[in-house]
Amino acid sequence: MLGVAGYEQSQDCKVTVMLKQQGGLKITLNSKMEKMFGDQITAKAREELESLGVEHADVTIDDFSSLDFVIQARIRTAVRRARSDEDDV
Amino acid sequence: MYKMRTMLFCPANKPKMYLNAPVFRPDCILFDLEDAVAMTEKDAGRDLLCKAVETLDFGDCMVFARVNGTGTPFFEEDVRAIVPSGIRYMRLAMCDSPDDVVVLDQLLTEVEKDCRIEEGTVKIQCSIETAKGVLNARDTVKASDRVISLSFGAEDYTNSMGTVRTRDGNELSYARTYLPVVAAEAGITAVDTVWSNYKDEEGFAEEVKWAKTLGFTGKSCIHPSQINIAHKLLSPTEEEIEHAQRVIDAEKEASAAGIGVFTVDNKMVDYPIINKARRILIQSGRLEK
Repeated sequence: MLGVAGYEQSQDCKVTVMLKQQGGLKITLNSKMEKMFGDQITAKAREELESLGVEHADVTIDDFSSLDFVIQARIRTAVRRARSDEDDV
Repeated sequence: MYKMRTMLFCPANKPKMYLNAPVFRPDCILFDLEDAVAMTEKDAGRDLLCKAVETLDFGDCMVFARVNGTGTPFFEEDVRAIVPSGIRYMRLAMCDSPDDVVVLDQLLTEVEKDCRIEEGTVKIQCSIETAKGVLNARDTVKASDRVISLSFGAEDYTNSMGTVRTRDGNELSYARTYLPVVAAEAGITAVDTVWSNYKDEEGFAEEVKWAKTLGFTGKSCIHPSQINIAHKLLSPTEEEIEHAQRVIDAEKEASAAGIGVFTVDNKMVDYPIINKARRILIQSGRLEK
């Protein structure tokens, strides 16, 4: 149910995904770049989550100036880990 | 033969390497899914590599992925994930025998078919890293038409030999002498092992010169500071290029006059010398293959 990926390092981001049964997608972004790129980052994150078939989840992105491809990759890993965690329960 | 003077090692799970590595213009970048990625992070490294290759433009730099060995639980997942993303060059770690290459070759054929990629598109570099690997290298590199080069891995090799690496590298003599011969016979590129102490640039340069003397045409690098040194040492010098050009010019004149053997700079020139001159001009980009 819970998956975490990435690191609190420059140009990286730490993504925490909590899969849920309902409530839609709730994305929380913590980033120094939020004012400039917040909407763009959130949109990319949503796009990646939807491509992975995630409809309900609480997602936190602690961003350290990462590019889109990094955020997408970390989301992908965190979702897979969350699903694996779900299978283990 | 492929131009692989430098292969810059980058851990596949470090985002900033994907942006920084191309800046130093190595001939090849090697994103490592093997030793540089912790067992618990293999999935993350793979995801990051795939997204990076799908997204970024690496220009004319050849992008390799070092996949985990065939005997590991990560091997198949590595290959199945990274080929669809666009990786076209793979270094196969721990290539101990032809069987390792055959296993990768068959899996690649299957994945290429699934992804509608022309069969044989993905090329292989065999990483020879053990005593067994060295002794089997001649057969290993011939196990698939996909093999375009071999690389030598001295850290695991010395481990398999029960020795340690030293600055002068005497413990590597046999493998270092043998592997370029294997590569030359197969018509593939030979890439030498890494020089771990990146602050010792003098030692690195000496090792590159020695490797070149033995027949290696490329060097694995672990730090950007090694790129320019290796490029300079592994490229023909201006003097070599000028001499090669004089040989080729003289050969044209001699050929027109129906003369087989002639002299350049007071030295006899025959076919081996002409072929060497051609190779140097091709390497320096002054003659088409």
